[in-house]
Amino acid sequence: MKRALAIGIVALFVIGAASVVLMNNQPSDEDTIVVKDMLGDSVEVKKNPKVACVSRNSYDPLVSFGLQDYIDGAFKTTLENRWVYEMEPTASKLYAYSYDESYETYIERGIDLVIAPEHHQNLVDNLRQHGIATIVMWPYGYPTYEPYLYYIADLAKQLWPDVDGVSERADAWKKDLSDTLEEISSTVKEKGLESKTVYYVRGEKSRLMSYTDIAGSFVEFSFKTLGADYLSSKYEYNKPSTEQLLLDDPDVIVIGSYQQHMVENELRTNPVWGDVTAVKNNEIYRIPVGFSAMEYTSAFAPVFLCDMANKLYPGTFSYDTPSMIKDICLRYYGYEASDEKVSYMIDGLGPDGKAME
Amino acid sequence: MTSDRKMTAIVSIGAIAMALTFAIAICMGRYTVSLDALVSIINGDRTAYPTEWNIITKLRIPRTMAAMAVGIGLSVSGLLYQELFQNKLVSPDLLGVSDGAGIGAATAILLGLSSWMITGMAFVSGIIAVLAAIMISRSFKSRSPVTLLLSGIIVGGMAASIVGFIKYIAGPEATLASIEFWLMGSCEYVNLDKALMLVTVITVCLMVIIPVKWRFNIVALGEEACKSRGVNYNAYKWLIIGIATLMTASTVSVVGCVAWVGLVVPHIARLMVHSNSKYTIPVTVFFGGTLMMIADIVSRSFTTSEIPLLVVTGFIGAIAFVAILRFTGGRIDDRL
Repeated sequence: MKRALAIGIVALFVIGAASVVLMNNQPSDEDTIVVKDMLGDSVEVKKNPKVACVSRNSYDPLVSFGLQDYIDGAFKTTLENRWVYEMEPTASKLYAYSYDESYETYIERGIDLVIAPEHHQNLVDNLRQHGIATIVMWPYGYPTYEPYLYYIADLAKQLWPDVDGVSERADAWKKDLSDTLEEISSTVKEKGLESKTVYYVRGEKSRLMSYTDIAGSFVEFSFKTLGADYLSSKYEYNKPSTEQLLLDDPDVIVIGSYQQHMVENELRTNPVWGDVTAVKNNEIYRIPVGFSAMEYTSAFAPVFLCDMANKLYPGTFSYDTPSMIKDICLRYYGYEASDEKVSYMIDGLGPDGKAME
Repeated sequence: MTSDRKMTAIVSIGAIAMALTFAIAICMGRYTVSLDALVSIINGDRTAYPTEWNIITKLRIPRTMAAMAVGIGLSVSGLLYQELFQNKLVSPDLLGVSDGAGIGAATAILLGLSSWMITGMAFVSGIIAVLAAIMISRSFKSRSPVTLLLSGIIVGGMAASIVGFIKYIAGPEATLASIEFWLMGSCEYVNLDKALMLVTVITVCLMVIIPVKWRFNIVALGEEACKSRGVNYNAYKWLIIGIATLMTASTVSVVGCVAWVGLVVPHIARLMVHSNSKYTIPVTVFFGGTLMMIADIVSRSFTTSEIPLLVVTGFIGAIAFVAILRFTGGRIDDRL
């Protein structure tokens, strides 16, 4: 009896000591930093973290800042873009995360930070409750996206202060984007360019024309900077009906993302759309595709803006977008794009010249 | 007015209501069609108002036809099942056809197949689900209709689990939302070909049922009553199950899952014309078609995005059922 009691006391002492040791092994304040996410929540994150880019617009910018070695994985549809493997050879080693990934997977993989979208089954709250630092970053801001334009760049500078080149690249990216926005918006105002009604289609084959980005998106902000009347701002939901689109009769239709060719084919062949002004005047444009769809915040965002400026106002803007693409590929991704590859990007095709479906 | 004349008047009113609702459905929607445009289109002039022509002929007519066919198919199926199983709470999807069709449609959407493949796979899987329910019921000793219902519930539950698994593995960005939207029912993607196919199936099924509709009065009394009156109960039982399954699978494969219509409309019909299938079937046809066209109008006319049919029929059906229960004092199982 006495022996059992002694063993029990020793075991308790060992467990207590181990707990104290483990608790003391938490990162010290010097190893962590507190950052704010896009919803305004303060999150304590380990510096130079190993990150899971679950939010679909987080992987591209971090790669462009030179943080490939800190990225464990990306959202699975991000990794379905064939340009990712063309431009970043290490991408094949990345883990393909889903929104339903269990927190045990993140812990097992040693993830210090998850960059997650805000919605979908309380993903963020679940991870935080299990002690995983999670930052919300998604392609929408309320009431507009403007305050969040440079969020990812500022975040990268805060979280990876010791990594060479991150700060310089992030600042360069911010400058590229801000200069482009300033130049385009001031030209639009000075010249008093005619405002056109633009409908943006987020190319997805199962939804065809009825899929867009509504108010608060970067796409909305971009087209408003371009002086356009962005149709989807007034929709309550991102699936407008066919009749609604016919009623609104856009002057211009712009198709983005990876299945844009299929959507364009629907637009040009289905007689329902035959009398829409954009179709009659052949003002249907596709958005270039690169490391990600260019209509999201990435190093290619200036290309998207300039390309749209050229297309909406051909008499006023004539940006050399092929040269811009080559320059960005080299500066931010270390990728030397040939003329052929650039033409594929501009045409929304994959690196093999075929449509990505 | 004699009872027969009263019933005939109700049936006639139903027919007129359905025709009027059809006309209103063609004219109503997000896009306002002027009277001039309407007259021009009726006269066959497609050049004066090309957008209106497209909207009416390519969007509204097909979907209104489909909505009408769906309403008729589900309502009549519900009525026949309620008579066969002698249970007023039975709906046409109780043998698992809706959940079974969901497997086929969800799989097709997951694989990125065409719209026609989605319809085809939904139809086939719906039929397979009912056949599975029949096979399960036949493995039991009891030949009671309740056994078939229980088997349908089992198959429906299993099918719902499979659909849940498909949704789990579907990409949340777009595929999952497409599956969910399909499962909630919509006439948005119905073209003229699909509408005509659906109308044809429903019409053929009605042509089989209507000539023998008076015999369903006897089938509703049960097997013993049929035997004593020289009616082949088993033959009519399988005829009802076959026709109702065909109609339900067709409707679900084209527009997705629609709830309440098959449950509530037969009750409305019985409130008006009692339980004589000579009248309940035609009344169910007209009021089912009318209700579904109204649901389609509501789903597409008041918001920039379409409201799923399941949502609209759920609201209408639930309110209607409460009204029915109040009117009957809760005695829905009594033969009126």
